[in-house]
Amino acid sequence: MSDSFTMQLVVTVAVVLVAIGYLIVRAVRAARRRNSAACDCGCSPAPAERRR
Amino acid sequence: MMAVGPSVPAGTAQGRRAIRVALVGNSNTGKSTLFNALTGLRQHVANFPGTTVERLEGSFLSSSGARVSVMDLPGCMSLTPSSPDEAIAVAALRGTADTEPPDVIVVVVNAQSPERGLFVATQVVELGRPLVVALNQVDAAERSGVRIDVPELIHELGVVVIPTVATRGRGVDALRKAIESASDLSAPTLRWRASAGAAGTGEAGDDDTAQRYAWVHDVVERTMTRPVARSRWGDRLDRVVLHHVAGPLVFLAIMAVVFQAIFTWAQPLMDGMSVLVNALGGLATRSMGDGPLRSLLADGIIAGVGNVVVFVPQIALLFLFIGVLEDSGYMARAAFLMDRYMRRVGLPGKAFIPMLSGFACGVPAILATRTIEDRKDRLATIMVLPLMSCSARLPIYTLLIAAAIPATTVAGFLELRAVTLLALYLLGTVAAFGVAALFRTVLLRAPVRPFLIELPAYHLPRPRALLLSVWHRTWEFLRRAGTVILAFSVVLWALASYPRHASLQGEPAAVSAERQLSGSILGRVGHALEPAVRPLGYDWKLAISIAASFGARETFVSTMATLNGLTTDDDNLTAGALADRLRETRDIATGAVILTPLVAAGLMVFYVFALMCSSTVAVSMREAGGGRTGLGWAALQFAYMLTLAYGGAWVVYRAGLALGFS
Repeated sequence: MSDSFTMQLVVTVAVVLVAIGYLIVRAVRAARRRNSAACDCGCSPAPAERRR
Repeated sequence: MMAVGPSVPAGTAQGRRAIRVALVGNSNTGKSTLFNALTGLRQHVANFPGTTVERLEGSFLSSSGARVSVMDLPGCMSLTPSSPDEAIAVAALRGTADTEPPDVIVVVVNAQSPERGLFVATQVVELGRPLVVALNQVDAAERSGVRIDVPELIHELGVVVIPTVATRGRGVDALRKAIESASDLSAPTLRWRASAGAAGTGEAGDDDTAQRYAWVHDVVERTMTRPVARSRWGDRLDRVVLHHVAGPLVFLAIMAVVFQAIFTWAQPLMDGMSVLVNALGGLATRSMGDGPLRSLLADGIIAGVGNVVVFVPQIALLFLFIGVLEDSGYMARAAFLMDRYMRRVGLPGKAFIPMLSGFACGVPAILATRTIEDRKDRLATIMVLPLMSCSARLPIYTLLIAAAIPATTVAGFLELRAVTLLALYLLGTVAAFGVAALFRTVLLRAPVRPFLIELPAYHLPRPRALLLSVWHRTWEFLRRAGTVILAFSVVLWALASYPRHASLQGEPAAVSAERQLSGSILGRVGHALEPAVRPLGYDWKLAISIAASFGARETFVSTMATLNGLTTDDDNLTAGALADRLRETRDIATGAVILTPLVAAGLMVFYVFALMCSSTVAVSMREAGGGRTGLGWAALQFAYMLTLAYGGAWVVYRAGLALGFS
């Protein structure tokens, strides 16, 4: 296995782990944000500072 | 017009203590535009009643350095709330267990027809808080021939009145100063109490309401002169767009133009973006040695995210058209027009605006149902709203249409693909009406309330506000592509690439790649799910794509792109190329085309009906009452839509086969 291949493998594993971590954190935050009206679907209806 | 009042001494700011201000008034008087002008924020604004259904907060620094916190409240007709959004406004004004009432209340009044706004002012003054009246849209009033004697109005009301044009920032500085000064004052005594002699309670009983309106009418008569006729061209336009025959035809024509434009105008830009994505993929392949990172970049990230991003021009155009409809004043007319049809299926006329907003996104559309007074009316609307095709469905429709529908025209000028897109949107709308009728006859029986809506004046959409709105919504779509879709594409690529299998001697590359994907974790999941979707004509790869899109619909496109990228060595995976590829992809074992026109038609129907958005489920749950009640309604919504999706796709596929299609 060449050095280049090993480097690619290491970076790939790191990227995949970061992606999994990001999705998990996002899911946990969404579950906690039960009382927020913030949209999570890509439209984000209002960028006001706070909302209730 | 003057911008000063008799009771505002200069230079009386309260040092640096934060001042809390509430903007209140009738719907569609420009409260959110004024909120944006005061705070520099970009809260969504539109030219129809009920745009704001939540309490929003922003702030600015006064000239004396004090922080002024501003609350934008939903519109209300009185301080006796009749709908959830009005209840939010009234609770904020009166104060709640965890929130103090505001230090200053600004009542925003429409200068063209101030009576109902001043009626609210007569009630607000009884809350015992310093009060400022912002007489908004004075430019439109002047143009329509209305003359207002502001000093006389100040004298008659006994409170500060600031003429404003929120859209142009006129009067906003004066309003800021008036707010700052008013916070030092005790509550004013609106002259209504002295002259009418009523002991106001803030509650609108019939007699009380009549007395207040009589007083307001007197004040308006003494301080304003109005021309007898309204804007002539607006009236003439209304005679057509509100006509019982011409009106629906105009509405359908507008919708046809919108979908034709979405398909044709966006194409050059989409081609340009495809070239860009293509070049990136080529660059990644050429500049890196063979290895997992190269495959991750080219097949996972660039193919997955890139194929979602190329749909941005279409999404932006959709938002542009929705923005024009909102800002021009047509949306309220369309709601009025559609009331008679909606009433027949048991939906209130007020449901129309949330439903049309559902073409952009279901989440704010469900929040917008707060303007609906009756709980059963509101629940029925929430239950059917996700059937309106949101912007996340657009990339899926476009991809499947490009793969299955030929690029020909009908009636000489309409593109068959655009007509198909319109048909998909109509299918969702008709299904929403049908399901609403079912709910109203089974679970949510109640007479539908009469529909009253104030038709706002027509005006040309303001380019700046329109472009900001389009930019903001489009940016959110891009942000999502760069976060969730990106992370999802990476994970999906990993699941589709491992465990690795060695290629067999002499095995063609395509067969080897297919065998690799089939034996991967994702491939095994796909094979496990395949029996569930076989009756619809789908193979294990489509099963994976459908399963992946349950969290968010648009991942269907990125999943299809990743799966195809991994099983071919062509790096030109653009939107058009992906559609061509899907059309030609064959089952390795049988050689049969997988995505036949019939299968694609079934898939389109599946995505029209299926509720594949976790945010929509969460919002439905909360807005349907929260707790177990909300969970029950949200579960019912998810279940009936999935049943409809599966059943619809099955019927299309089986009927198509029976009729000899493939």
